[in-house]
Amino acid sequence: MKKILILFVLITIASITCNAQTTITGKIITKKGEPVMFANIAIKGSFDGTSSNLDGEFSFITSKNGEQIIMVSCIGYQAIEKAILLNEPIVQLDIILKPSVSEIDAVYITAGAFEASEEKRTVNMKSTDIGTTAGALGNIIGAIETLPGTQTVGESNGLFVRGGSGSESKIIIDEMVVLNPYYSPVPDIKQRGRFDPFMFSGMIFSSGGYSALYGQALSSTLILKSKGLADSTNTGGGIHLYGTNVFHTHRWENTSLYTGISYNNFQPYHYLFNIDKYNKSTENTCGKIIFRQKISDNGLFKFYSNISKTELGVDFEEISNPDEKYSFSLENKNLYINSSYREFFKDEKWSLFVGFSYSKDKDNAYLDTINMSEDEEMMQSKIMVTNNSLSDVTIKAGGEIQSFDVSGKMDNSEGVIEDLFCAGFFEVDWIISQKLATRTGVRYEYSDYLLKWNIAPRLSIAYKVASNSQISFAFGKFYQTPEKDFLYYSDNKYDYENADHYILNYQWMKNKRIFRIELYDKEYNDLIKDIPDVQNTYNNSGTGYARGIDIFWRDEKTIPLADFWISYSYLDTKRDYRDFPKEAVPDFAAKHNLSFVYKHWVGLINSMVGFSYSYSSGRPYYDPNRPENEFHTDYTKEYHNLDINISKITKLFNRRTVIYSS
Amino acid sequence: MKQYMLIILISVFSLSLLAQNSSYIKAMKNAITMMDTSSSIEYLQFAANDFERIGNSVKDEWLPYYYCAYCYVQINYLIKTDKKRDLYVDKAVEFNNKADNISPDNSEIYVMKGFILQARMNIEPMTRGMRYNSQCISIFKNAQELDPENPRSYLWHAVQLFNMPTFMGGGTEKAFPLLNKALEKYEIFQPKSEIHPNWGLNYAKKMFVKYSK
Repeated sequence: MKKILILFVLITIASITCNAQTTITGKIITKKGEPVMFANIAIKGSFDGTSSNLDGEFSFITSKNGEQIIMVSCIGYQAIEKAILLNEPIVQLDIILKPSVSEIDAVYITAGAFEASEEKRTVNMKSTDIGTTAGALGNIIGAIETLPGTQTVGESNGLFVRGGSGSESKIIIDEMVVLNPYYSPVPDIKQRGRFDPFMFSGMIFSSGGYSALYGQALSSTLILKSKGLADSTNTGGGIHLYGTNVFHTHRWENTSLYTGISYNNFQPYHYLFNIDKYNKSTENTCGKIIFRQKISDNGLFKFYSNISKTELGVDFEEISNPDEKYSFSLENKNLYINSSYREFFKDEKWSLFVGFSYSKDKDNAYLDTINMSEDEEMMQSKIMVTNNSLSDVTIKAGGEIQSFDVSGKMDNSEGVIEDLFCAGFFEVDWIISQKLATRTGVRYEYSDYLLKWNIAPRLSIAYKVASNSQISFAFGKFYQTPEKDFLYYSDNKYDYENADHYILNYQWMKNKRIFRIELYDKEYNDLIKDIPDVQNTYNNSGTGYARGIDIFWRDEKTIPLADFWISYSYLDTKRDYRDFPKEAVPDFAAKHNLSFVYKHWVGLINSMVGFSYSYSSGRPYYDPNRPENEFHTDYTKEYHNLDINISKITKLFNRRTVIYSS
Repeated sequence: MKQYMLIILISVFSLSLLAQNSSYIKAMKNAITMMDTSSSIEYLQFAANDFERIGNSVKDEWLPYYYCAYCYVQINYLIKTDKKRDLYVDKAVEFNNKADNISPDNSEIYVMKGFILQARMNIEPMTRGMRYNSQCISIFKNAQELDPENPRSYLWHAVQLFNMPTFMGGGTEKAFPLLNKALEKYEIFQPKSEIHPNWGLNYAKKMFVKYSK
């Protein structure tokens, strides 16, 4: 027994101390044969290993033998594991590493898209840009209007993109469409957006060729992503020239809740600046709740709700007859709920998104004595699954249902629209190589009201031509249900209006300087057109086109502490639609648009001082005294606008606050 | 007889553990020496690689990953191109998270979190400063709660306040008492072992000289 025991001990000790040693030597290179320096070479489960030197060479001694797994990793390259047999004193091992497609060097789709983010580094804008752009006044739309492809149309709501009307752009928050992103329209006065820009952490502004995840916008989408859990607990409030607000944010470990109310009255403002067209200054009361709940390590539930009431009255004159004055009054009530839940499963390979939104909007307006009222209700549910199992391929699939219930009344006539709208989408992002990336998608839509379906293909390709520059191309088909004003007259069954986008983009980006140039062609078909001589009858025989060039230059480097960008857009567009007697330039389209935004950080007063200048060439209008064949041959004056602002970042009520003055 | 066998078995087992453990300590000491004595990207990367290998093979020790993260932060400060710096900061985050998973609620790892965030802010001070300042401060406060005797938690908190403008709650006036506190804590600080964190004193002295004028 003792003998066996001693033998056992000896064997054990021997096996610990007297292993045969192997020297592993070799070189780490890329496919092209370039050496990879500082790579980490290790034998799995042991300390043994080393780093490659400047020539990619390495050599180390190990006491392991038999079959082992060797792991090689290096920053900027894909790590690999390789089985190796250690049965000789010296083992030669050469390894080829593939570069990993890092976010910085990667090729990415830029055609038609401007992105702002706090996280990503390959974007054209930062989230804070929106709040600190002069003229934007913390208004999202104002900031977007300094980007190429857009134009400011002072008297109407909406984003006007590349010859598209305001209704051809959709705003999407956390994947859900927003039915009434602006305060209710008032004749000739542009209304502000309902959303505070500081509630968002990222945005993608698409001036065309956007993803199959979205639809029902012939021209453009503005996709906004709201922030996650609030940073900290705080209470605050403020008084400004046109109102007051108080709020409280509470942060628990996995939960945050914001509640706030605000009351605005523009009377002092209108009085001070001598604005006399209001017979009742805008008065607005609003309550807001933002709730966030972390459900798991990678799961977050978001809830946003906003309820508001607005009243105002304006006097305005008919353009064609300045002596004739109208009085207009409006009362609007709006409720909006947006909730969503996103969860990442299994090493973030799968993710699930579920969203629900509800909006209710009630307008009650008087034009002199004519009563116009409109009641809109919309519900939307959306579900989306994302798979990332292959590192270079992202697959998204999902569907959505929207139900609309709209009723409008004008004097004694009444119209009702009830629609159940369904859509399904599928999209594949494939990074084929470090130089080539594609996004292919398809979207299916069915409207219960139109009793029509459509299939919209989308395609984007990006190719990196040099380390700092790339070319992208995008094509897509886009459908949109005709505006509700026409749907009320449902004697005719309409089809979707649609547009084809072709976009070619070049982008150069280096050391905080960006240059972009984009050529586009947008072909409109099946636009709503009046049937001549019969009132309130329409068909889908309208057509149109928009072609142009957008140029963007941003520089954060040349002037220290300063940041500026210039956008220029050239637009050639004509349409034959609605009540146009012939093909003509629409009244919202200007041929030349220019924006210049400049910001300078002044450390002494901790402020960002900036100005923005925008220019639009004249837009056409129709002088009714002219014959019909001279339709839209008169042009308005050129539009110049200069805004100067100071945004001071300071601490008020223990909260970081941006104070503007313009 | 059986007792004999048990004693021998146990001693053999513990001997092998000891052998493994002492080789762990030895490897760590080597890598720490390389990290402390070099100020070139090359050797810091070698040290980082060593720590990564050690961490991957012992699996349940937080120190290798913690030092690995430290190396990547240092490399980031030596790199000239801003774009690349983020890659190294990302690496630092990755390894410090590994350390955090092994040893949750560890004051030193919290300090490293803040230290990494400071590196992140340094790349783009104007935009990122605004975004990360308050997060950074609360991380250091957490570190102080988890271990009030950790001098690094006060030192880097102080550094953050020195770098923050007064109007955002920073400034020398607020930072200096924290720096003093850090120096006091350094005086009595004893690392748990020769491979446990024991850095920052020289930097603290440098800051003291710089700001006490």
